[in-house]
Amino acid sequence: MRSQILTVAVTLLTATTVSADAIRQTKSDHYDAFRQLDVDLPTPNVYRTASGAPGTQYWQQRADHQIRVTLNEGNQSISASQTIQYTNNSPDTLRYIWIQLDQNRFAEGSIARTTATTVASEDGDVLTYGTLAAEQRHADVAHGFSIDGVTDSRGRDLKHTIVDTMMRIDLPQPLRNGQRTSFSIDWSFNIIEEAIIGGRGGYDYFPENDTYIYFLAQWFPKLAAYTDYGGWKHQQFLGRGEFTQEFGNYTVEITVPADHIVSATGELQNESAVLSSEQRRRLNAARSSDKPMFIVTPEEATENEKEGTTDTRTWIFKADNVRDFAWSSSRKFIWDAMIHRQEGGDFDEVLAMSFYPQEAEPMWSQYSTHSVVHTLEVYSRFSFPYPYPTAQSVNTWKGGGMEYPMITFNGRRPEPFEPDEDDPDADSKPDRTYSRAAKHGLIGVIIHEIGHIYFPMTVNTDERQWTWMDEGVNSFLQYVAELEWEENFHNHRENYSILEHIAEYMTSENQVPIMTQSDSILQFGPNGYTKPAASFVVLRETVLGRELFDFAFREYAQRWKFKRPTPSDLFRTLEDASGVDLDWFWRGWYYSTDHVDIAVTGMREYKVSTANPEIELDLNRQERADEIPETLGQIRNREEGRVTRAERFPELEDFYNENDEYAITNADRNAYTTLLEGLEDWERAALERAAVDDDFVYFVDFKNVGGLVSPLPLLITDVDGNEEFMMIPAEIWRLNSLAATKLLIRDKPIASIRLDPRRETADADFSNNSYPSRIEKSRLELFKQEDETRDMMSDMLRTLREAKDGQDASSAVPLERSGNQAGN
Amino acid sequence: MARTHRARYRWNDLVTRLVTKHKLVVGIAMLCIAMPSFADRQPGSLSTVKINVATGNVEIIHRLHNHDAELGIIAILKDHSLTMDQLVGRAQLALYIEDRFTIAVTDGDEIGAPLDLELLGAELDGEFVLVYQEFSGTFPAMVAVRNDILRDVFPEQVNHVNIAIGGSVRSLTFKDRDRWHRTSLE
Repeated sequence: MRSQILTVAVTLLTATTVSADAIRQTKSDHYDAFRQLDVDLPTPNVYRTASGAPGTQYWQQRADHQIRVTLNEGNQSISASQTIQYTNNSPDTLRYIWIQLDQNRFAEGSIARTTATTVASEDGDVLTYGTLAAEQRHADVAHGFSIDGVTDSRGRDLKHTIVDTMMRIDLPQPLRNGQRTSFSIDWSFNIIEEAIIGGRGGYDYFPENDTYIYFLAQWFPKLAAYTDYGGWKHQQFLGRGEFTQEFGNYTVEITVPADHIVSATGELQNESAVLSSEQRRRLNAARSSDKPMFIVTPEEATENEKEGTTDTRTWIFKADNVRDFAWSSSRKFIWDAMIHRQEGGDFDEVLAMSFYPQEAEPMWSQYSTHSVVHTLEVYSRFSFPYPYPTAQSVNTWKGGGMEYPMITFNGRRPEPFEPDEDDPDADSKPDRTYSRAAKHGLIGVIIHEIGHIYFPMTVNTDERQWTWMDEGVNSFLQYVAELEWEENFHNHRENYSILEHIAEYMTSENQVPIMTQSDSILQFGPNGYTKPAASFVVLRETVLGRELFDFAFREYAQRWKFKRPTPSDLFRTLEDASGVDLDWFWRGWYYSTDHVDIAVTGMREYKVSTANPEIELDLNRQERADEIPETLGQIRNREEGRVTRAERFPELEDFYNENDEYAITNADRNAYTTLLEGLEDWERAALERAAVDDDFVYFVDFKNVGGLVSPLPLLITDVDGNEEFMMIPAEIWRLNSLAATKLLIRDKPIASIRLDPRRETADADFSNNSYPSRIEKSRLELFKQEDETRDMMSDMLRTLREAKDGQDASSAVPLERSGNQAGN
Repeated sequence: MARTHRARYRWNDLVTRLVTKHKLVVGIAMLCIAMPSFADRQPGSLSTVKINVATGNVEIIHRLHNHDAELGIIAILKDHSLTMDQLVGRAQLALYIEDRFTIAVTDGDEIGAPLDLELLGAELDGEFVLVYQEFSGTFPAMVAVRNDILRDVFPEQVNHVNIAIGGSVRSLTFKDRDRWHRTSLE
C-alpha cells in the first residue's frame, strides 16, 4: 500500500512538472511571443465559452438578506437579527454552507491580528504611537462578532463552527440543485474607531464638538461565494484582498437616534416616517433637478449636531440584485441630491446624492454630487446604463475611499487652516481653503469609488483572487473620466504620467506577473492598479484604437453584467469582439514581467540599381569620388605644378590610363544582357519602374530591448522637414521577438526617425528611440532646468533644515530597556 | 495675490509650530492607519537609481503615491495642514526621504561611508510625487542600500529600489524587518 501511494505521488509530481511547462523551446533560445494562450487558459465549458461569454449552463448562487439592526450610540455598538434565504443554483449538492464574518478580523486572536508584523530599525525596535493606541483600544474594547444564535426557519439551533473570519453552518438536510434554505443569525459587535484601528468601516469621532459619523461596511454575516471555478471562496479575510460575493435582494431596517440622517445601499422605503415634510418637499424637487439641491442645508446640519436625543427612528431600505449592503448614519450630515437621466437601462432616472459634515465644506457641496453624475455618464458609455436607482457619496473619513452597491465612502476634506497669530487682520476661524491636489483628489476618489459600482459591484469579479480585474479596470476608467472632467486634470500629459511611472516599475527584476494571485502579490499597487490600467490605456489608444476597444470592452461589460467573469473571460471577450489577436498582449502584460523598451538601432539608405552598366558605372564613380577624397599628396603635387613621369613620357600611357576601373567593358554589357534575359517579365518591369521612380530605399533596424512586444509608432522626418507618422503593429515581432528590420521606400531622403514620439507605449528608455540618436533630457535634468521652481525649493529646503536643527522629529514612543534582552 | 499671501502665511505658521515643542496629540493615531484609500492598495514606493550617460551623474528618483506621501508626512510631522500641493509639504517630504534613504559603500560585508547624495527637491506628477537626489562622484562597484521610507508610518509599506547602473537592472525590496541590502553592480 505504502509503495503504491508513493508511486501515485511520484506520477502526480511528474505529471505536474510536465504539464506546468508542456511546451518548451529545447533547442536555441527562441521565444514565441505570439504563441496562442489556448493551452494556458482554462478549458472552455458549458459555464464559460471559448469566446469569453457565459455558457449555456452558467449558474451562480443567490442569497437574499433581511436585517433588523440597531445602532447603540451610547456604547458605539450595533446589534441585529437577520434572516438569509440561500438558493442553490449550482449542479452540486451542498451539505454545509460558509458565511463570511469580516468583523472577526478585528477580534482577539484573529489571524489578521496575530500575524501583524511590526517595524524594526537599526537603532532599535520601534513602537509607533499608532500601534500603541491601537493595542490600547483592543485591550479596552472587545472587537469582532458576538454570534448569539444560528437557527433554522422553525427556530431550531443549527450547528455552526467559526473558523476565524468564516463560519460553517451544517445543514440538517443536503441542499440540492434548485433548492432553497432559510436561516437566521442574531449578532452584535462593538464598532471600531476607524482612525485608531484601521478598517473599511467604523466610526469617525470629532473631538472638537463630540460628534460621530458611523459608517458600516463588512458589518453583517453574509454568504461566502460558491463558484464553478473555485468552489467555496472562503479564504480568510486578512484585510487586504477584498470580496467575492453573491447577488441577492436586501431589506434592511436601521434603527438610529431620531436626529440622524441615514444613507444606505438601495432606496428609502418610509420617507414619511423619517423625514420632515420640508425635507420630503426638497427631496422631490431634487428628483427633477439638474443641479445639486440641499435636502439638509449646512445651517440645519450645524444646528442638528449641537444636541443629541434618546429617541430613535427606523429607516427602511430595499435594494434588489446587489452583492453587498453598506450604510452610514450621523446627525452631522448635510445632504444634497440631483437627478441623472439615462436611456436604455432599468432606471431612466438615478438619484445622485451626497452626505457630508461641515468639516468637508465647501469642497463637498461643490464637487461631490457632480462627480457622482460625471462618473455615471462616462462609465455607462463604456459599459451599460447605471443599473440601480441611487448613487451616493458619503464623506466618512479624511482620506481614502471604499465602494459598495449604490453607496461609497470617500475621503478628502479641506485642510483646517490655522491663522497667523501675529496677523491682526486674520480671521480667527478656519478659512476652508483647499489645494488643487485636494480638489483633484476628491473628484478622483469619488470617480474611483462610484466607478466600482460598475466594476466589481455589477460585473462581479472575484476581488480576493484577482484584484486587478476590478482595481485595474476601474483605475483605467477613472483615468478616462478624469481626463473628461477637465483638461490637465492631475497634470496628466498625453498618457505620459501613468505610462511613465509604470514603465519604471516594469523594469524591476523582482516583480511578479499580474496574473499572480492577490495574496502573493508583492507590489500590490503597481500590479493591482497601475500596470493593468496602463495596459488598457495602451490597448485603447495604440493597439486597438478607440473604436475597436470601446466596442469590445462594452461587450465584456454587458456579457458579464450581474455575472461573475474570470480573467480568461475578459481576455477572450476582448479578442472575440475586437477581431484582433491579442494573445501576445495578454502574454506580455499579464503573464510575464517583461517591460517595453523599443529601440531603433540602425538605418541604411539605398537606391535601386538599374544594373545597367551605362548608368551605374558612372554613378559608382561619382559615389566613390564623394566618399573617398583624392589623396592629399596628389592634390599638392598638382598645386606645386609637379609634372608626372607619365605626362613627361606619353609613351608610358596605355589602356589603363584612358579607362579607370569604372569604364564600361563588353564583359559588363554582356553581363547586363544576361541579367535582363534571366529576369521574368514582371521582374524586368519592376526594375524599370524603380529606375523611373528613383526612390530611396531604407532598411531600418529595431531592437526589442525590454522583451515585451509593442507596436512601433514612428515619426519620419525627411530632409525638407516634412513629418509623417506611421504605426507599425506589434506583429512586426512575430518571427523574431527581439529584433526586426523594416523596409521603407520613400521619395525623399529621410533625415531622422523617432520611435514613440507621443509616448504611448510605456517605453522605459527613450534614449535609444531616435536615429540619428538624440540626447533625451532626463526627468531630473528637466526639473533642474526649471530655475524658478528649483530656487524656491532650495530656499524652502534650507529654511526647513534650519528650523529642524535641534528638533526631535521622532514619531516613535520612547522605549527603555528592561529585563529580558536577547538579540539586538 | 491672495493665494501668494496665503502660502506664506501658512508657512510662517508652520515654522512657529515646528520650533515650539508640541504635545503628541491624537493625530498620532494616523500612524497606523490602514489604507482604505482606493480600496486596498498597499502603500509602497519605487526608487530608481540611474546613471545619466550625458552628464555622468547618478540620478535618484523616489516615486510615491501622493496620498501615501501626504498621510505619511502629516503623521510624521503631526501637521494636518500639510499637502503635497504645497511647496512646503513637498520639501518636508524630500527632507524626510533624505533621512530615510541611504546608499553606502560596502565590501560585501562591512558597511562603509554613506554616499553624499544631493537633495534637489520634489515635484508632483499626476497621482505621484517625485523626490530627486543626485550623486556626482564615482559610484562604487558594490553598494549597501537602506530604504526606510514611510516604514515608520505604514507597517505594510514595501519599498522598491531599482538600480540601473551597468548592464542590467538590480531590484531591491525593503519590507517587514529588513534593513540593509547589498548588491554588486559589476
